[in-house]
Amino acid sequence: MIEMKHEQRSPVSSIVLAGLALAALLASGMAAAEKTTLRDQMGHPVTLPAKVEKLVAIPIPIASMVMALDGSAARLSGINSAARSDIDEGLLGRMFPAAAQISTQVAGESFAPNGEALAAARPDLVIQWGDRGDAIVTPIRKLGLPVLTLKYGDSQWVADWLRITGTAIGKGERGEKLATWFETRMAEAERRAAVIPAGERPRVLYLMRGRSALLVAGKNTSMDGDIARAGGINPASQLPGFAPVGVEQILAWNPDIILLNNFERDMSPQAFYADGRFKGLAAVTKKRVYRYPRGGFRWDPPSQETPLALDWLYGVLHPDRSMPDLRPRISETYLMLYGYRVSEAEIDRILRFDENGQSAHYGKRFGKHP
Amino acid sequence: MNSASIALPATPGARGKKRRVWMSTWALATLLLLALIAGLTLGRYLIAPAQVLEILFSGSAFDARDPEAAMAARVIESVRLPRVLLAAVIGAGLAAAGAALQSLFRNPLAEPQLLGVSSGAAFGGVLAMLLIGDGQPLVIGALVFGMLALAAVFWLAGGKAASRGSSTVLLVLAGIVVSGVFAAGVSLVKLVADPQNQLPAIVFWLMGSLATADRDRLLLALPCVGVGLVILYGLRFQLLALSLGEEDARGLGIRVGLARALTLVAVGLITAASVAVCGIVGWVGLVVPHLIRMSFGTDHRNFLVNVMLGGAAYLILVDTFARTATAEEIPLGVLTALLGAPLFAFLVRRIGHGLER
Repeated sequence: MIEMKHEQRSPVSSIVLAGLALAALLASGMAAAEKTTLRDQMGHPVTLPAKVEKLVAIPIPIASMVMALDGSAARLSGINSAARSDIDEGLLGRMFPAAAQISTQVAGESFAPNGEALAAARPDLVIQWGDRGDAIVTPIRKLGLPVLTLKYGDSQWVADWLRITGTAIGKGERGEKLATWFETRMAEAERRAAVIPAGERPRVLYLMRGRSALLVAGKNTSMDGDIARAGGINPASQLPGFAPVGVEQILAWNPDIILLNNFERDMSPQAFYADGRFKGLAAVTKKRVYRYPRGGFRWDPPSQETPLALDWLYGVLHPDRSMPDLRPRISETYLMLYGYRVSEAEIDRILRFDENGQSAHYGKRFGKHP
Repeated sequence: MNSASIALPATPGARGKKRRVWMSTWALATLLLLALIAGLTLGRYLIAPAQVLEILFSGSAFDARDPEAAMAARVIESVRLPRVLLAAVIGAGLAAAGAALQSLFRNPLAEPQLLGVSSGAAFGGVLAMLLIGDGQPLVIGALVFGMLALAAVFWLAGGKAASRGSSTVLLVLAGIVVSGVFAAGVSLVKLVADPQNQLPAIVFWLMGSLATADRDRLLLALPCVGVGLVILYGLRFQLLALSLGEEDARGLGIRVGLARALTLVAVGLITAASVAVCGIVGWVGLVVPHLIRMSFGTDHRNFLVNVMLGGAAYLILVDTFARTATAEEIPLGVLTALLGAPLFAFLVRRIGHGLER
């Protein structure tokens, strides 16, 4: 193999090297090419630098994913500012204290890269969303930085995020291991839900916004897929994406369970129970409003923690069906993903017992059993 | 006040025409009533019209043992009724504010956004969302900054001198300046807002919607818009005289400065309150007064009342469509612009020079 050095090369040697690389590629076919180029999730071939020592991750879940793959936050030189709340308020900052130092200036509104800050972060590679238009990708390419693009939509795709990101940072084996684990657990969740008869599937609504507007998760959102995967029915599944609806529409759907997001600060089941407009709703009278937990990452969007989120969701949707205790599963998974031993108090915080504790079946289902 | 006793040159004050003049008001009142009925009977939660009437007239005395009936009653009382009434209040307010400004500035294109109050209120709202949170702080922030914007416009236009002075151009220019500054402020807040937690909420609120209407918002908007409407109604003759030109108005014995200052305060109150409870809903202040003007003329006795009735009916109907047409809620501001602009263009084409009146 060609030895690629990190320091600057003269144009002549670059051409020679490129020529050699091309020759090697032609000579040995794909076997050699695999070492330096990678097909990203959008199908673009990306030529990787020999070593990715500094990485900028603009998609929010990738920040914690890289820490899981790497066992450290050292490689990240830039992350999305929205990932900061997982570091500051979630468990991520406790598991990786160094994460608090990572620059969050690299991207602004709607994942738009900030050229200057991106250049200042001096990344060897940038990871960006690929399904939100070229406008947020092209500026990175123009800086001469290699970009790896991922797509959002189904939790299932996290396995590929793990594989692609792992390979990119030289942790291909770890990425493959986590991806296989992820797929096994997803399949387990699907098998578990498949046997539930249609009549026993509760109607579950996810609210991406509940305060300033009512935004439900419809078609092509990961939440829609996850509700089905946990054996529920999403009455909003015909609406496109995250769709605004009126109070009346929610009353007309009359969901059995309402899931609250991790994005709004003042969102809690209590606020929902107290809102006069929702009185009489099945989910409210039966006290089945729950806020999604949050650990190293929030459990509502897809991430390496999605298998835990699906276990939790199954437990919430089917309180009478047996399932393995979630608390030891959380401990095992956090040890495996982050090398971190969570305390019982931390598990309570992850599961948001302070907010969800009053809701139906919660203590019995997820509480600590002596 | 006996309105018929004051005769302005612009209006044919013939006694025989009195009945015909008020017929348009009766027609519009009927339209408003129909809009109210439509707004209350239509919705995503299906309730038979007969049951709607029963709920409305029996108060809360529904059978508590029947959850279906209880739910229907709640839908009407705490979801539909506040929303329809809020639409009526905001529609009447914005339409009257637009009509008043058109008279004041003698410009058919004047509308509440012109004064910079909308931008000020928008800035106050998003600032409150950024620093404190949505809900009550947002509403108060929007009101406070809307009125601040109005004060800034007054001050920029020369304070007392402006309210006495003759140039409306100064006021318009001051409005543009204030509007520009606050619009930049809104962009700045959007820039520093948390892209996941706050930004989507800000964007949605700015689009304008009545989806969050409830009793509290209605109770907040009603007094502000109500006071504004009462002031404007009290000024209806002065406004009509002002629309003929300041000299003519002075000649009719109208205290131009005072009338102008009061009008601006009323418009400011109405606009700030409406932005506070439902974001920026554009075009109502432009479309409704022109529709009324073109269909029924500008008789001083009932023009402003007609505009209020028409505005209320218009916004109820548009909002009912916004929340009923699809399961997904169409933002009201988008719909009023989408509907208002072509409607306005059609009227301009059709009436042509009639606009110059």
